[in-house]
Amino acid sequence: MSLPNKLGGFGRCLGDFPVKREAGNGLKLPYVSEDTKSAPIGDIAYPDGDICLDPIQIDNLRAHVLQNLSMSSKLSNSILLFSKIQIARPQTTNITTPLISKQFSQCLSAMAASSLSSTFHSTHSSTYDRMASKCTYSIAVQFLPLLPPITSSSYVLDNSCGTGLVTALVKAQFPSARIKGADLAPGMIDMYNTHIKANNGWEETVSSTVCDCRDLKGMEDGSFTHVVTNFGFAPDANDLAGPGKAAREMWRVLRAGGVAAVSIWKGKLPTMPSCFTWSRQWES
Amino acid sequence: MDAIQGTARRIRPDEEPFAWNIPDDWSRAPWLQRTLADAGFGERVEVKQIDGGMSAGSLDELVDNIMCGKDMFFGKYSEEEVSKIPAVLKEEIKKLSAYYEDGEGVGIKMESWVAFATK
Repeated sequence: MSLPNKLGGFGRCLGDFPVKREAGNGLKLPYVSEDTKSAPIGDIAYPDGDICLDPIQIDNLRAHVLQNLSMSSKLSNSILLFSKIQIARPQTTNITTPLISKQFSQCLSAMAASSLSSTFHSTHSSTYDRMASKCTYSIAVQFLPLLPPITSSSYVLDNSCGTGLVTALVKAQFPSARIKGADLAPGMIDMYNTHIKANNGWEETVSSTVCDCRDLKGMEDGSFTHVVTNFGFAPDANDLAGPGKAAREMWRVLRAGGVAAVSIWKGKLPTMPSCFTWSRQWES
Repeated sequence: MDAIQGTARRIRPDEEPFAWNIPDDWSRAPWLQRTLADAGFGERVEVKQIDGGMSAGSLDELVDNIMCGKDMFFGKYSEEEVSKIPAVLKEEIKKLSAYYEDGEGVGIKMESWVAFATK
């Protein structure tokens, strides 16, 4: 027998989405255990018994979360995982309610990135993004919510997109967003395209091109409402004029009133190579 | 980079470690603001500091992740030298003031500048 319940206690991201509690089925979500550092992915934490969802409810929950997910500061400290929600047998977990709340916010973070396929992750995790250990993600997830709202009429350029972390974050919060990913490194665009193909509905709204941020060939003046350049502003240390060229190109392709966001590492030395620097080594 | 360079110096003390030789300016807020202003954005540029960083479930995992870049950082090292890196790197990371351990694992705090420029 199903009993109505609400997950309001799990944080504002989830809000008051109703779920049913019943025996037999469980909802498997990725989370990072706080009591054992080594447990990377586990089953959902249950507050007092099993939270159970049928497949339709899971779809609804997932859609609800993705539509309402706020990229709050909570996410900046969360783990980027790439898993899809799936039905699983319930697994009893002995944890307290406050812990559940935090774990659920981590689940939400994972769901923000859940549109990335496991195949993509397998490839992805062994190279640039794995080395980055979420450092570029940790910054993007904080500044993207500071941009003017992205709507269905927005057109976002993920400039120096790398493997597509910014695109995934934008799509998680704004599923209808139109996005173009551009990167100088063909290997990065290959991975970006894998990402597009792996996600239902992305092929209609996401495109890509191999393109140098210093010369956005094929992109018309005033095309984009948002241009995001997350640590790709200076792709080549040997080109001292590069950042200036990239900035002029960003200005050119933005519509009047459009906004560019550009991130760089602070400090004497960069902590991470750009995707371009990395891919030159990686593809050689 | 400090930990990577520290590791390199301990394993090959007579060799200059790998570095990205970019101008110092390129990691400073005034440079970022000026570059965007000069590109056409003028005074409609705002720069904020946003802090984040690397993180992983454990120090071993973090070191494994960084080792994905070993061909870049330690490209000419012998197999024997490469085998020494993880243990030394772990020690160098733990020396960093930005290193932390918490209930979720470990991490290295990193700071960034983010510019928001309106056309």
